[in-house]
Amino acid sequence: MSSPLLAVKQLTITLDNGNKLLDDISFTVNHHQCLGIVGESGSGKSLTCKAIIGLLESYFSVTGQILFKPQNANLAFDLLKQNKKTLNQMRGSVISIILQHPMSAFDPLYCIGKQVVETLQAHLIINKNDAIAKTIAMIENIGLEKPKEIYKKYPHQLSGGMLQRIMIGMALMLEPELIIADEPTTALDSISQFHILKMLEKIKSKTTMIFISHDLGVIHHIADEIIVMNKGKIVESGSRDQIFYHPKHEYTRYLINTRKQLLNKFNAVTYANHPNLILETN
Amino acid sequence: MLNYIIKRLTMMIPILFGISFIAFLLINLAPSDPAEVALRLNEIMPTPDAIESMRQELGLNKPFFERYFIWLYDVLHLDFGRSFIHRDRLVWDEIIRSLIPTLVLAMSSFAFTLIISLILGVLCAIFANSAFDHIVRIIIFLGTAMPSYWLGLLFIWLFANYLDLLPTNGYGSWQNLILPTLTLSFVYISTYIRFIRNNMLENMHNYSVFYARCRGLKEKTIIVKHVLVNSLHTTITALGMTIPQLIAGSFVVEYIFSWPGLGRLCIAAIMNRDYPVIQAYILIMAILFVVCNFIVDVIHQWLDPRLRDNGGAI
Repeated sequence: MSSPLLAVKQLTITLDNGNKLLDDISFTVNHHQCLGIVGESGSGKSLTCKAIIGLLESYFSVTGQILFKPQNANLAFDLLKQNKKTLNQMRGSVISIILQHPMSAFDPLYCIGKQVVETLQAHLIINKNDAIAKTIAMIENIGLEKPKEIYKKYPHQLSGGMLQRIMIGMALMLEPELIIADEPTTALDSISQFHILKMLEKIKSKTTMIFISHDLGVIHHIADEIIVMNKGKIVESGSRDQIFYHPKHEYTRYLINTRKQLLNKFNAVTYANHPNLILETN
Repeated sequence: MLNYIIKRLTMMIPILFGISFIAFLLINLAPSDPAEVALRLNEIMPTPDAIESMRQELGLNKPFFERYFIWLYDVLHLDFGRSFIHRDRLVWDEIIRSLIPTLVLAMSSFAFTLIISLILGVLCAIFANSAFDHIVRIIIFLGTAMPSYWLGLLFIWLFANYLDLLPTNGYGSWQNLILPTLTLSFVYISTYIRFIRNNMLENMHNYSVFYARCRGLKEKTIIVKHVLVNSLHTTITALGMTIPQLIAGSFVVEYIFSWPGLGRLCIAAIMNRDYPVIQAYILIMAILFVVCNFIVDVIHQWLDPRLRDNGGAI
């Protein structure tokens, strides 16, 4: 592996009043790797993401570097130094984002298909009919039935799971180099969660991904490398097995133990009479 | 959609009946005797005999409900009776004659309000807290703080007296229309600039707008398609109700600029206790409000798919 796709170096984000929200964050993501970022809410996971895609509000001051080196580029460039237009062009096409709340991510006034088409048209030179055909093919590919009908549905007429699939499908359509999934399963019911995870696992082999979650179980499923964040700092990072089976930092151990306790309680209540069905504890 | 329109139209019928009843009742609750008023207006001594014969002529000796149904029957045939002052003139003709100038003024004010507040509202939202936004805000404060008679007089002084550009009053040409339109729409423009600006700023923080940015849409697309259209939602309700307000509320402006509209007709009718005219005025205004409300609701349905599915409620 030559140079990494993404290298975040000493990223620090400060509020006007001097509060440090991110403190000296550094990590790298290699091509075709899935990096899991884990931490409780408020630990700075999503903020890190926003910094990478250049959508931080103007009242944050940012220092550090976010070096990005797509496959066709000779040299890595600093995302923090790009102008708005370049970043806008990169978002959705080179770096795609999958968000946490599919139910409110789409504009309620337009049908789903139109929103996919407008995204395609923002990045590709493509006529409307081709974009529509591409969208319908995408809806079919993500395993939804009656794609032509889905195309015309409004966001409120579809379930969270369906919308999340469409969001993932849309993220993949432009063949991005990096997909950032910000808690993509958190707002879903467990069956949808399962399907979405399966879908993301498949995608993982084709592209590079940053997967953000507070759910260790989900992270365990999908991530190759993991960083654990707490209060704006990286407390531990390493391979999945290292983090899960040999955690060094107290906070990581605390997270893993909490999850184990939860799972044990769950197993004790649910499977009291069926010990052979007990879920694997990590 | 069609079902909804039919449903709403059928619902309008009882509402309109209710309104007609209230309009009739209110006038009948007025303390003075219409027969006596009619006599005085025509400068006839209100002797008991004269009053009695006038009551006969106006049908006031019949029971209340009978009178209401007779009136309602006539109204449904667009017959609002005759004015007390000019016994030879039909109220309906008077109303129509004044309605046209009022509609002209209302429509030009509405168009002016719509265009100016959309442009300035959107610009203020995009350049929020800039010098431009602050200047517009000051103008807005002035616009809302100044009553329209004061503003009208100021405009007359500035454009007619001082700059000698426009006529002070009258009706008939586009020059006559400018000052009343400016005066009438100023308050509304001030309101709607603020309305559109704040709605847009609020919508800019929508999760769906954030996602639109994540998708790399152009800023122009995001502002127009996703922020503005979503903001128009509430604005349309208010704007739709502005049309009847403009028609009903042009009293003062019509008076200042000697605009021969409904407002002037109504003031004259109130001063003279010309009951048939007042009754017709109340009824027509109420119908206008109901109809505009209906149109606004239909536009809403058409704009918002969520409403379409729930038959009118989010």
